[in-house]
Amino acid sequence: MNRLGNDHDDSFLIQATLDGKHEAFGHLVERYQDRLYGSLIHVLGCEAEALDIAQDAFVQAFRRLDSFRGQSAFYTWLFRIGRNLAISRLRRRKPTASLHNHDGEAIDIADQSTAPAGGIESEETIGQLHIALQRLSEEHRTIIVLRELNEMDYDAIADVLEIPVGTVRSRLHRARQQLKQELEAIGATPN
Amino acid sequence: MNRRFSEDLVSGYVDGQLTDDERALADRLMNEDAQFQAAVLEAESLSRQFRLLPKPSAPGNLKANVMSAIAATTVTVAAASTAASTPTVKTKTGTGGTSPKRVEHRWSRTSILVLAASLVGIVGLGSTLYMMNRGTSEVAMETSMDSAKEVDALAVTEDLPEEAGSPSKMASDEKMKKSAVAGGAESTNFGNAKGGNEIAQSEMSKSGIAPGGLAGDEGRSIERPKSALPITRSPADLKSDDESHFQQTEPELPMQAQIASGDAEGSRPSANIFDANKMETAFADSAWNEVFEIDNKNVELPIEEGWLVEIAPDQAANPALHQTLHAFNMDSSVDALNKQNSTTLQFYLATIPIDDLDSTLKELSNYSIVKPIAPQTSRNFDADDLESKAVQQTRSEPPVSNFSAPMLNQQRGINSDLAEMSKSMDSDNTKRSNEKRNNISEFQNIVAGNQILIADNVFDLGQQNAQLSIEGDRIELNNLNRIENQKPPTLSEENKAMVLAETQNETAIAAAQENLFRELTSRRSRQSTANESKDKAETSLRNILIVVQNPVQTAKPAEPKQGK
Repeated sequence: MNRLGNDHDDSFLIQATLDGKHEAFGHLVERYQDRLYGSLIHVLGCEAEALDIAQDAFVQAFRRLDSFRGQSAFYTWLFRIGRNLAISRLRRRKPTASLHNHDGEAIDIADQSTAPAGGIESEETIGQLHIALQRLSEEHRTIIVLRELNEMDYDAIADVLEIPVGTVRSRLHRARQQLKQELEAIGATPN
Repeated sequence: MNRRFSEDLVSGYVDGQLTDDERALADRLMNEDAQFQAAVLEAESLSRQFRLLPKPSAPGNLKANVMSAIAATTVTVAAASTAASTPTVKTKTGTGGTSPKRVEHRWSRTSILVLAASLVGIVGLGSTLYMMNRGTSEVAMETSMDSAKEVDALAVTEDLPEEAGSPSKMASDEKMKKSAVAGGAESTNFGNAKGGNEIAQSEMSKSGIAPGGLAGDEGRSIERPKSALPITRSPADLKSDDESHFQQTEPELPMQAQIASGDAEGSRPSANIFDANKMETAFADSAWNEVFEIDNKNVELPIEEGWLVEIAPDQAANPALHQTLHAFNMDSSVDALNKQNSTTLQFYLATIPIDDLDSTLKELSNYSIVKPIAPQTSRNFDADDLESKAVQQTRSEPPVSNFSAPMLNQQRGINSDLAEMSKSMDSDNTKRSNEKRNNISEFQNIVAGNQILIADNVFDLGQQNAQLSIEGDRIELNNLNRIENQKPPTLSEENKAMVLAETQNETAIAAAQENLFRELTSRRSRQSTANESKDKAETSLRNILIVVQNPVQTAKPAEPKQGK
């Protein structure tokens, strides 16, 4: 058998994992950890919780991998697991309107930015976007994250959220409208 | 002028997710409709901003933690099995992963002993690493008192079908199969009985044991918990409008979804209300084992995983029911009902926000539990549905409503900001309603100029059909009070006084009007202040940049001489 590498596609790695080669799952983790973790940060608004949930999601995915039938993308399935865990977590705590780390300190996401440098203006915009995003409902926040950050198409979003594609479109529209309102409320306006 | 397009067309256009026909329409609107063009530009601008957002990288130890947790889990299983002193170790294939394919290996006694010793060591190390990375305090808490809470996450996830499907699809795939097999015996594997196994799995996972041990998913049936007392009612009871007997006959269930009778004062019709807060409490307390059986329709409400509702056969074709199911995104259930191949619906907690829970259950109870209601009184459509309906109406027929903001502006000179509530056919009201998440837009006595728009608790659908009447200085939107039957009045004391005063006391009207104007002015003032701050900041920034670009060489001040 070929040596397992990160260049194999998901289905190959999944099958290899099911065949008992755990390192194959490691490649899947490597492949999707940034995307999942990054998304969960925006959904949960908390680094520590995002890390916790991402880890749990991968472990859950591993445990349930034999139920994955490959009819949707692995990441779609993985994100759904992560989202369900996140929803459970969100229910246990009061809504928070700010990003915070494990110690409750505000996160300066801009510091971690790998985004194009844009100077003070960009950092300000980023900060405002984060604040506005956290003010949205979980439902709206998630769909924005899926579309804008994960760049999923509507079919994939419908798959993750288990809603009709038509609903994706209307919900996404409303989420954007709400986001716009929140941005305006904090004094930011789309350029 | 009403919009000539549905607003979600904008999103679809910006995201490139339209059908060919829609795209053709959108392209045409881009050329012809300035409003559409502006909306598209705005949405594109927002999307552009998101591209500025950083993409945080996962901490370097995430993969290691995951792999440690996996290793701890699978290895412990092997160790546990080995310790069971069976010479045949059933294990996952290869290195012992959680593979559905199982291979039997023959092991020598020596190998088993050596392996057992090794595994115990590895497990300890792996578990320790895992625990440390999860945070000692949190793990300690979770492994003791909070294990029940962990269950919800697991349960939501455990049997997560990889297929998107619908809740009802999930139901029909597995849960119903189990129900059919179980048949209602004491050892029945109820729709929610799996939750018990989840707890076991949760606990096992905490200690590093894979769920179900080597037996995988087998043996899921657990004994029906004693707390899962059914609420049994006769069909005759259900037909009765007087629901007080519900309270009389309900056994005292600690975590039962409450079914409240109607308003004690009798001012509102009785309505079954499943208390979402209590549901949540039950959820948090892991009292998910209750099986809620309401009459002989066997309605089960397994809190942990969702709700199983058996629709009365005579209600299966009720269009109002179909409408409700559609509103809650249970379209496949509608399909099933249309095909008359199922009267059992199931939907999952994850698909219904907790805030919508009570209304969802209450609505469904109208068809399966309590009594049928006429389609025209159906309500509680969620915002998605409202949006879709508004879109459909916009596309297919002229607006039902006979009032609009432009019309109000033309006829009465009303400030457009304040008349926004009247734009019933676009999504503004839906949007507001959605924000409140109760499908009710509460525009209370909106005052515009010397006009008073009396609109107590405007319900979106009602508003679409509202009749506008203009009498003197009053504009009244009638037919907006349907929700009064469902929801207590939410008018503030001030507004109540204002309503009272509208026919009696002009001074009170003026005072209330003044208050509202003050609020509006304050809002505008805040916006103005925010704009000023922004302008100042921009000016400061520009000045800084200018200074940086044109540094002024100033003479260095002479250093003070010392010693003199």
